[in-house]
Amino acid sequence: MKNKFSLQKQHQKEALMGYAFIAPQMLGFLFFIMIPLISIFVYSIHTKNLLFGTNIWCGMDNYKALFYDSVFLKTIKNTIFFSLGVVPINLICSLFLAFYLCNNYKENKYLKTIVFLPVVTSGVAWAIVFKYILQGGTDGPLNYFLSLIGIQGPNWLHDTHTAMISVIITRVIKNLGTNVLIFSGAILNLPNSLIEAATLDGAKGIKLFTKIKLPLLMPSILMVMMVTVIGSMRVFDTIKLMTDGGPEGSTMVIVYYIYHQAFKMFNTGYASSISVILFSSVLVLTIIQWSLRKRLSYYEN
Amino acid sequence: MIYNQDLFIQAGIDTPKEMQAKGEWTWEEFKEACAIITAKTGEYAYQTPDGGGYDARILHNLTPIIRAYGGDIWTENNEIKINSPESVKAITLFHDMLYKDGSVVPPGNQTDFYSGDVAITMGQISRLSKLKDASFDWGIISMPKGPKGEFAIIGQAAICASKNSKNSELAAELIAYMTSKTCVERMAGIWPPARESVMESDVFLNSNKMINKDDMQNVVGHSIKNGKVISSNINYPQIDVESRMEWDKLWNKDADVQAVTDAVAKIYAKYIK
Repeated sequence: MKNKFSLQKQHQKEALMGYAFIAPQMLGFLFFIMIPLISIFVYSIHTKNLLFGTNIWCGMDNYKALFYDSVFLKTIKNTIFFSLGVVPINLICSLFLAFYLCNNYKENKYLKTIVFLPVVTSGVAWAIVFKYILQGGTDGPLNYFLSLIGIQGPNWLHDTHTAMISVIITRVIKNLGTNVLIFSGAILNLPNSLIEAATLDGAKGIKLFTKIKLPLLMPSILMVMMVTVIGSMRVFDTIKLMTDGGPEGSTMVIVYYIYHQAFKMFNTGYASSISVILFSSVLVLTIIQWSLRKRLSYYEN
Repeated sequence: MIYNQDLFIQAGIDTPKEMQAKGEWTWEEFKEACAIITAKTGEYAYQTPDGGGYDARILHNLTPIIRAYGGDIWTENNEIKINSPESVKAITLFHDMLYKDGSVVPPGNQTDFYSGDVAITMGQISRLSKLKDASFDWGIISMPKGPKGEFAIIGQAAICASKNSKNSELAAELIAYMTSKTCVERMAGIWPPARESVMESDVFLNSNKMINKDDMQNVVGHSIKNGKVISSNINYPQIDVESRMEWDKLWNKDADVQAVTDAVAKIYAKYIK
């Protein structure tokens, strides 16, 4: 009896210790993520102005106004375009790079460093440097090199046709390294026995890749895709620093519009309703991808 | 305006002060001088305020030219005049400088006046602190004239205390202190307030070590006395973001200034009543 009691006490102590260890993270999550997240839903049904201190219940008015807000509708279009650009380019490039790097894993030390370098660079510095590189005329380094081979480059960030693509490429190169790292890990852990068996059965080249390696990599691919989609919908710093939403609003994305409404207009209520829309769309996308994961990656343990 | 005297001399033309003395300091002559500087030195001649003349500071850049030609952005009576013939004429002048003469630092270009690569720029005297270690000779001069005279912009900022605040009286006290004689004297060389008593005081004339008394009186003081604030409105942040989508169409070679300003005026009309 006595023994059992002390064992129970031991368990309690251990549990307490465990909670103490996760407390800092959980408290941070509670105060900086959970509570603000719930507040956003409450704010979104109020006409709330942070500067004037107004806070009046308005039901669904904020959401109704969204449908008539041409800028908001434009930001949705832009965000979708941005994600559709970033996600496939990022996935394909990082998968390709990961395979290339894994082929000669030891010799590619320098290339690996170069690919991963942008990830550890500050996003702000990255955007400013690219803004410099992408200047129009022949003043920017990129256009200067293009002019050497006889191509007249556009004013990348100030041309409606090229601004979004420039931002997308900037963003992709910045985040490529993380995904390459995840894919490399997955590729190096591919079960050799399966590949050997397939090779013995005569599979090689593209067939080996599409029928054996790709399905085995599906869990990592889906995970990376989810993270990249969410990340791309939350883009802010690159846009703010490189184009400020222009030209002609062609790079105005949702998060930037939220910032604009909340911190320039102080329309906190309205901004919150946009945030709710963004939150819901990301949630829905994640659920879709999660269910895809169950269906597509049957090799997952 | 702040100018790089070396580049004017290098181009073999009169310096702004000499042009002013001859009565030639007009926007037309300014445009011409800029074109010559670019042709002769290969450098850009004019940089918009802080290089932001195509986005955040679009009105700071255009207003002095527009008003000098008799136009305006919108008036104090909320009459929208951005697409009036006078305004269009003034904007066309700037547009020609940018695309026909190639004398203005174009959108997105990072060339900077303060590092000595541009001949002249528009700015407030607080910007002079960037010229502390300048390797070139520089000077300041009032705005060029247009058919309707000379118009400078006064920097505008407001401090407000919320009506609902528990401490509104304390806030008022703070503002009274900030605008008191001692504080104004301390700030006069960087942010001179638009008050006659300050403009005429010796403290103001000697307040900035980088500028002599003469320039302080005839350029800074003169510009503040004759200057006006930019057209403003409580909805400006929203006006800014929406109108910028139209303004951006102005920044290409074949832009139709009238069409762009008509579209901008339409957006202004949505908010300014």
